[in-house]
Amino acid sequence: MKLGSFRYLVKQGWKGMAANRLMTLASIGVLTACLIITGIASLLSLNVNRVIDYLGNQNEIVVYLYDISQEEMDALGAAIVQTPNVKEATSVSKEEALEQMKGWMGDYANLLDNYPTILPASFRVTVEDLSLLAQTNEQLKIMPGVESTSAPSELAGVMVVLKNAVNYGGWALVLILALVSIIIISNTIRLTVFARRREISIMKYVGATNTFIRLPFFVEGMTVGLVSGLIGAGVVCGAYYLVMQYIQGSQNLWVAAIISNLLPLQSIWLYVVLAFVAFGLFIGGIGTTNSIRKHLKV
Amino acid sequence: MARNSIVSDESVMISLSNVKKVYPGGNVALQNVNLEINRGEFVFVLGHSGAGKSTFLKLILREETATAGRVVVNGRDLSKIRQRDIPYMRRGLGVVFQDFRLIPTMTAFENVAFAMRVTNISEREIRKRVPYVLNLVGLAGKAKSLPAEMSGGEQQRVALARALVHSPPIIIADEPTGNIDPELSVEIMELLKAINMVGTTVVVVTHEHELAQRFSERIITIDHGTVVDDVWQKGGANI
Repeated sequence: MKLGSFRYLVKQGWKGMAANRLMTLASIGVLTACLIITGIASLLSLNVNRVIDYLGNQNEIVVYLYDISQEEMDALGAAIVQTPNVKEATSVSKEEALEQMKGWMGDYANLLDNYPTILPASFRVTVEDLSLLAQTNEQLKIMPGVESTSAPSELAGVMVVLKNAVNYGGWALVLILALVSIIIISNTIRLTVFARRREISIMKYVGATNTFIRLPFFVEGMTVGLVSGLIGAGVVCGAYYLVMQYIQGSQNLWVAAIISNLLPLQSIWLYVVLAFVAFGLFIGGIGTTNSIRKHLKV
Repeated sequence: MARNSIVSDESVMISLSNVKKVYPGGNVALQNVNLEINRGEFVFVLGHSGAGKSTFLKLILREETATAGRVVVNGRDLSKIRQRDIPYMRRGLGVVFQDFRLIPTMTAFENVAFAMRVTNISEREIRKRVPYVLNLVGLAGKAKSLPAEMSGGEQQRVALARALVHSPPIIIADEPTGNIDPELSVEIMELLKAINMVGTTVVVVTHEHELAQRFSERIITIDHGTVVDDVWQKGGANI
C-alpha cells in the first residue's frame, strides 16, 4: 500500500470518528472506565500480593533443638537450608534466645539471671511457598537433633486463601471488563459500519480490497483504545499517587510496615501507561475485527 | 493443485455456460443460462421484475456464485477465482446503478476520485484523470457540486464518470435510466453508446423494452430465470 493511500485511510478513520463523535466519546468514556477499574484491580492485586507475601514471611517455623554441639548445629543448619521450600534459616543460640527473652520481659528480665540455659537453641526458618508450610514443618520435625517445631499453620492457611482470592478475583474482573470493553468497541464500530454501509458497498464495486475497507475502522477502533488507555493510565497513576500520599502520612506501625511493601509510583507508572495503551489497542483491534467481519463478505 | 481462474479467449468478455442459481430456501433464480457477450458489443439484458436480471448481475459482479455451470468475466472464471482476487477482477468492470450510489457528502470530483483512491492510485494521477472523465461526461463545470445540488441526469453522469475512471473494458449499467426523466435518459444512453464506440463492451440491464428497442443492437431477454430470446436489432441476425 502506498504511503499516500495509507494517509488517506488514516484520515478517513479520523473523519469517521468526527462524524460519530457522540458515539466515539461514549466509547472512550466507557472503555476508560473499564480500563480504570481493570487497572485498579490489577494494582490492588499486585500490592495485596506483596503485602501478603510480606506478612507470610513473618510466619516463621521455629525449630527447637536438643542440647547439641556446635558442629551438629552447623550440620543441621546446612540440612535445613537444603530442605525443599526453605528460603532461609537463621540460627539462634541459647544465649541469643535468652537475650531476646530478656528484651521482651523488660523490667522483669532479672528473673532469668539464674537460668542462663533455660531456653533451647533454635533455627528460625522462613519458607518460599506459604501453602506448603505444614508439609515443610513435618520434614523439619523429624530431622536429627530437632526437639520440636512451632509453625503458625492456621494463619498461613488464611494468608493462602486471601492471596488466591485476590489473584483469582482480580483476573476474573480483568476478563469480565475486557469482554465488556470488546462488546462496547464492537458496537461503536458496528454503528460506524452501518452509517457507512453505502460507502463500503461502493468501495467493493469499484474494486477496493478488504484491507483497504477495513483500515479506517481499525484506525477508529485503535484510536478509541489509545485515547482511553492514555486517559485511564493518567487517572490511575494520579489516584495511586494521592492514595500513597494519604497513607504515608499515617503514624500507625502496621500501616508503615505495609507501605514499605507497596510498589512505589515511580517504579510502576511507565508499566501502567504501556499496559493501558497496549490493552486499549488490543481491545480496539479485537472489537473492530469482530464487528466488520460480516460486512465484508461480498 | 492451485486454482487458475484465467481463461484465454480474449474476444469473449462475458460468458455463462449452463448456469444455474438456486438461493438458500430453494428459489431458482436462473437455470440453464448460456450466453456470450463479445468485446465491443452493446447489449441490453431485458426482463421484467423477478425475471432473474439481478441474479445475472450479481453473478457477473461475483456478489453471488453460480450453483452450477461456469461464469467467465473478462477472462476470469468466477467459480475458480480466489476471494482475494475479486477486487482486482471488479476493477475491470465499471458499474452504474439505478440509484447512482454516490456518496452524498462528497463533491462530483471526490465521488469519482474515491473510486481511484480505493484502488491505490496516486493523488497526482487522480488530479489528472478525474477532470478528464468529468469532461467526457459533460460535467466539467460541476466538479465541486454535491450530489444534492445536481439533477438525476447529472448524478447518473457522475456515476458513469466513476465507472469510466479506470478505463474498464466492460461497463455494466443496472437500470441506468430508472430514476431520471425520459429526455435525460436519452442523454445517458447516448453517452453509453459513445463509450461503446471506442471499444468498451456495454451491458445495460433494464426492464424498459422501448429503450432497448430504440438503442440496442442486441437484446437478450430473460424470463423466469432462463434466456428466452437473444436477438440482433437493426438488421442484426438471431444468435
